[in-house]
Amino acid sequence: MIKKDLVIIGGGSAGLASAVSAFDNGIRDLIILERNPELGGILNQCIHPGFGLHHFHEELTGPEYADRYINEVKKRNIPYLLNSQVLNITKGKIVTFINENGVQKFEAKAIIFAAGCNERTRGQILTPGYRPKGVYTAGLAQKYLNIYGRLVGKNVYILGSGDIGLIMARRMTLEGAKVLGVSEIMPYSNGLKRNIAQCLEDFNIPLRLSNTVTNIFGRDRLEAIEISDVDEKLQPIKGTEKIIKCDTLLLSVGLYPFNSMLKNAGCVVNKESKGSLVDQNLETSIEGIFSTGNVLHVHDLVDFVSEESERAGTNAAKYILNKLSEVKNIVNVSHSKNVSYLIPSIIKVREENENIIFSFRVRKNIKKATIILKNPAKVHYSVKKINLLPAEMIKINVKNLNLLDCNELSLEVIEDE
Amino acid sequence: MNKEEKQKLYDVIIIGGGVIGCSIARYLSRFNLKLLLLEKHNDVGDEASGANSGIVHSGYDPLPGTKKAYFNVRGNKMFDEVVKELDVSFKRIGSLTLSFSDEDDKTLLELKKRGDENGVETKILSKEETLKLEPNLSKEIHGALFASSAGIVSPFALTNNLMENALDNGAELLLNTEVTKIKKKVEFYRVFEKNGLFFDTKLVVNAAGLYSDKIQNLVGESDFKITPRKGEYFVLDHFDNNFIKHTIFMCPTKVGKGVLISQTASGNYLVGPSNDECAVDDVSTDSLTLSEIKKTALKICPSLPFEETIREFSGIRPNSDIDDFIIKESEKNPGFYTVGGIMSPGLASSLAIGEYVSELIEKKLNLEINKNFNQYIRKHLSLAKLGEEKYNELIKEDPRYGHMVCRCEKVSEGQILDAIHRNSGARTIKGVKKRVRPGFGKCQGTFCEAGIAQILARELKVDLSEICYSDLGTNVLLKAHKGSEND
Amino acid sequence: MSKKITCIVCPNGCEIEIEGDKISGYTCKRGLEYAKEEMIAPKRTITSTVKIKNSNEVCPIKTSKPIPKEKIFDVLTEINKVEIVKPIKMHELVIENVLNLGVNIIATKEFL
Repeated sequence: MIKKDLVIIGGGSAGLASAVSAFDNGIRDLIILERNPELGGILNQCIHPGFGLHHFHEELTGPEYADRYINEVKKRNIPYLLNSQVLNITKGKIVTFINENGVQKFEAKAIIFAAGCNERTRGQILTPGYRPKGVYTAGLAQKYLNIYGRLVGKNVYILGSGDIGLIMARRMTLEGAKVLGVSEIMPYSNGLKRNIAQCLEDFNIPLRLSNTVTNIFGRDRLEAIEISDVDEKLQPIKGTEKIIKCDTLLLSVGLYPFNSMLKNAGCVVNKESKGSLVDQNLETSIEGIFSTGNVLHVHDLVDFVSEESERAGTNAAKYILNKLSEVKNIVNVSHSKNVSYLIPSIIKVREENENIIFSFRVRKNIKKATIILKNPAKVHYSVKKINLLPAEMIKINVKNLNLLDCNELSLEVIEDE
Repeated sequence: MNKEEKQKLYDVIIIGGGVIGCSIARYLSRFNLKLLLLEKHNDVGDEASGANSGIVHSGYDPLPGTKKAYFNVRGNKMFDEVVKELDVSFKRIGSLTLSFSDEDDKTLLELKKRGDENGVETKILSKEETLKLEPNLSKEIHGALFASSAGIVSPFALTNNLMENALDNGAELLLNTEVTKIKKKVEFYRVFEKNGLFFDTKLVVNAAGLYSDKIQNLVGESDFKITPRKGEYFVLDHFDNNFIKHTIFMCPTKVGKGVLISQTASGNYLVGPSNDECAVDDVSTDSLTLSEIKKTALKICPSLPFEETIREFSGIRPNSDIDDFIIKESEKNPGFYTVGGIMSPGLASSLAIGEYVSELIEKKLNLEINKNFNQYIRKHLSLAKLGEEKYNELIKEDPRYGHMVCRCEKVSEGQILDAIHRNSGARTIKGVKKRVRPGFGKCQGTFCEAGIAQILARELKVDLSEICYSDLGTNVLLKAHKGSEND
Repeated sequence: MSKKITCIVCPNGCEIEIEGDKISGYTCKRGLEYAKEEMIAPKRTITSTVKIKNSNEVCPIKTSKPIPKEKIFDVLTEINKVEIVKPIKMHELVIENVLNLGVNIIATKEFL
């Protein structure tokens, strides 16, 4: 069996960034496995601008952002295999994959799992009614439009105000479709504010909050949908139904990590993020298997995926080169109820002072908050933030945390008046 | 009848390409005859045969002496051999019919007695014995009736592969052909389709499922009426092969067999069905019914992980107002056969019904044996079936078997091409899905649909905009609107 | 009369309030510039695709600079007429000075 120091699964934004940083930290025997015929992942179909402001300090489109990293990979001659689908991963870090040369295996010292996320589908949100053609996830419609130049329909309604849905409202409008409206079941939008402005308001597309699709009509092709307002428990309110004639319904109802392969390998799952449970180095419960990007938790910005994945690459390199010092203490990290998930879940303390990045999302809009990190005895860190939104990932970079004598750490978001 | 007309004359026309029509076609193709099957949809098996539980019932349930009992028991036995011939995935996983009360206990005894009479081996299990077999079931159960011969089959593959085998052996198939009129002539029947085309045939077999009463009406008869009943289901991902290993039934009631939990032939879990009267084409689902199913299922299996749900669907049973299958030649219209009201256990009975009807016709037309009859279809090749070593040899021969198109269900381009270029081959996205499974997985086609549409367009040599999801008119995409050749 | 706009310069999406000459709520220079321009002559960067000859894929493109909002659909009509040929380089010129707006249409992906 061919041995590799590092196998990176996925050649999208996460895989590319982790490959570059692993290389720059001394790893030479590495390879990227990508299932598509090109590197870049989902960025290739995100042809709109808005990427890179944090990372490259300029506004790029998805393919341009991918191109920057692809060039970095090529500059370093980091090997990659295209059209190569990973079939499974074992606890012993054997990666089985398939391509036109056959089913093959790598025995890896370390694995970085960067396989991205999936869109939630109609089946997962239980939308009742008929099952005609014309109901698409926003990402599939995006692929058809931006890769193949084809519209899926002419009269479009969108369920869910996630960013892909908002972006697709604009894209389909620009390509000649009529977008009739967007319904969001929550009382707030799930997309970035600027996307509401430039994708909906610019084209007078109505956004209906606390509203959802309650029926779908049409035996073969979508003919109409029924929308209804919902109450605080997200249940449809009788009497508020409205029929909208349309040939297309796009679903932008959330993303979830495509993590089943790591789950099957035996990596413990973080039930809240739906990705793997990781420590501050992004290492899963199986030593030497790291997870990063949207397969770890769904990010709002690709810039943060790159940043996180560079960390994964650096840490995997340290692991392979035996540069990680001995674990002196293990701290479990919990969070307050208004936080929907938190990464990391545990901290393996190796140094007296650790620099740790915490990523999380809140469950509801919070205007002003104090975020604190504490154990029962001591507040380790505290910072004030404004305008926390569930749609946005929050990242805090905590320097010099001394956790040698700490067992439990808790991240709490306290609402300020 | 002139010479030309005589040449065109079919021996048999089967109306309806569900599992029954396809099975009759397959068994008839054992004989030398001119055979045509007319299907109104864009593929075979797109109505009841494509939306059901996929259970091959053991046969203890139907009342002794009924057609249901006979064909179920005989049909069940035929599966072991036929699935090998037709390369269909089938597993005899056995069924457990649960008792939750003293009354249920009595019902189980009654069912056991019926099973004995029908010649079906069953066994009453105690609570402990049942929980030992299925530890995830509710601790509230009293016991269960175990039937080891119950199985699960892919209804899509079964229906299609029966058709494929019939075509391999000389039958003809016309899709998108809805029969609207039948004229009885002196020596033959003239069968008209919607657009006025007609086909002449000595015999007609009405296997039109949900519309079998309407087709019978076309020859002026109405001895039964289809009373469609809808069943809604949840489909769960294949999260754990050992979570539930048998098909789990509730005790049956007058209206049906109730909610079941079962693995499917592909390792998913099916939960349902409901059982409500409905319009003949009402394939919608509704929240209330689904939440009732969920409630019942959680009573059977409290830890059933509904968060693994990947799809809901509904299927319509072609129940009739006669409490048994209708399989007969008309007295008023000799040569017109009706095979209708094939409700549950229709799938389990399908092979036996096909065999039986083909033999009726054999006698009627004095048919000769088709010496070239090949009961095997060309094997479907997949990584799961062949194992890595053999599959690699296949990839060497054709590298497209190494190109994975569907990552959820692990389906290669080679498999999809094979599914397209067969008799009764796939022409639509759903057709590919039904034959080799891309789109049945957790992502429900969001990752692979675009690639499959591309492959279909390339192989069928049509523009992408002509690719349909299922029936004509369900085009996946609009025409291109860019470039100078803007079409 | 005051007007509230959402800044689209970066993902922060600041709420900017404009009251006559008084502009508030922005948190960076670019936000202030955006707000000023949005009041007089709103502009947007547009992305779309163009057909590639003998390919089933299309090439993503963008306007090299933001264009006046009211010209968006006119520019798209021009974009939809174009057909380009491989190989395509990153930022290759697709349409020069589209509709005399002083803005180019450029490819945003490489096709070999």
